[in-house]
Amino acid sequence: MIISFRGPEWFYGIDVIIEIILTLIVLGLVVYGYKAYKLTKQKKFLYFFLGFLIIALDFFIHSIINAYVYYNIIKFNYCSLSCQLGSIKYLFYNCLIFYSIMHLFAYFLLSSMYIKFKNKFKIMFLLFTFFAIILYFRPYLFNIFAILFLIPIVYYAYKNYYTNNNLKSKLVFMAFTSIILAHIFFFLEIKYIYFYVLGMATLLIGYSLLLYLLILVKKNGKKTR
Amino acid sequence: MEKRRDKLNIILSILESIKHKGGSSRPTNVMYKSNLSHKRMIVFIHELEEKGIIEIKNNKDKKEYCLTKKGYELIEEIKRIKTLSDAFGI
Repeated sequence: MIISFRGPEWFYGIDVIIEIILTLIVLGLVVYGYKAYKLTKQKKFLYFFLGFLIIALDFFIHSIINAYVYYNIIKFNYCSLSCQLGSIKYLFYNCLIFYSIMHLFAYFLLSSMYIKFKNKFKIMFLLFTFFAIILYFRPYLFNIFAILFLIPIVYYAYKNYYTNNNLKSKLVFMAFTSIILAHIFFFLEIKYIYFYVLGMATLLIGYSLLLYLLILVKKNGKKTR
Repeated sequence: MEKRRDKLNIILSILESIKHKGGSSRPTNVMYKSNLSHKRMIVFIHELEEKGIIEIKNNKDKKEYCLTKKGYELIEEIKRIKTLSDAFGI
């Protein structure tokens, strides 16, 4: 099993901080999704809530495990890394696969808000099995699958922006476009490790746009009082 | 053809119709303002009453729907949720 840790060495730990920030931003969306579902019991809000909840948990678990991995890299010196960190690499690899599968699962739920699938649970089970097998052997394919799931979301977000032509729908469209772009950079990471840094930065921009949207939504509520 | 209103919009129109009448309103006014049939409005009213969002009071032998504090807060919360769901286009 040939694996390496992601990104340049100086970036170890910064990605953990970014993922914790992303967790907090996504949790803001989870709260609204939960409130909307509790009030209306509509499936679209359930998918919104579950999709973002999985993403938040995924970021959080990933950041904690990465922090543990980086801590061990610092603890052991670099020259003995290859012989002493076999189990750490195994943990890092399995965490990455778990992160990828859960993220795809979340994107599937988010795309379900826009597209109606028949036999949703059957499709989810089949996809889950398919991704688990494929990603175990080819983890880098995660980004290709993620882009495929995000394309319909970006399309509907653009359609919504085109119809409404307001800042809030523009933010959603730009946020999902940034997330797609981040996955493209993550895919290119196999060629050049600095694309991981670029990917994380783009992901942060994407979710920051959603944070800005949450701030506008919160202000919107206050104005109407 | 106009898009069918979802539950969130219906609840909001019921609550706002009561709010615009100063916090308490007669059933007929709510029915007209929220553009619902009597049967459908009653279903929503019972649900809102169960959740403590509105209170049903008898004023001079006539029913009145009154907004509770929770009801006023809910109007603002629904507006925020609606803004977010509109932004996402869901």
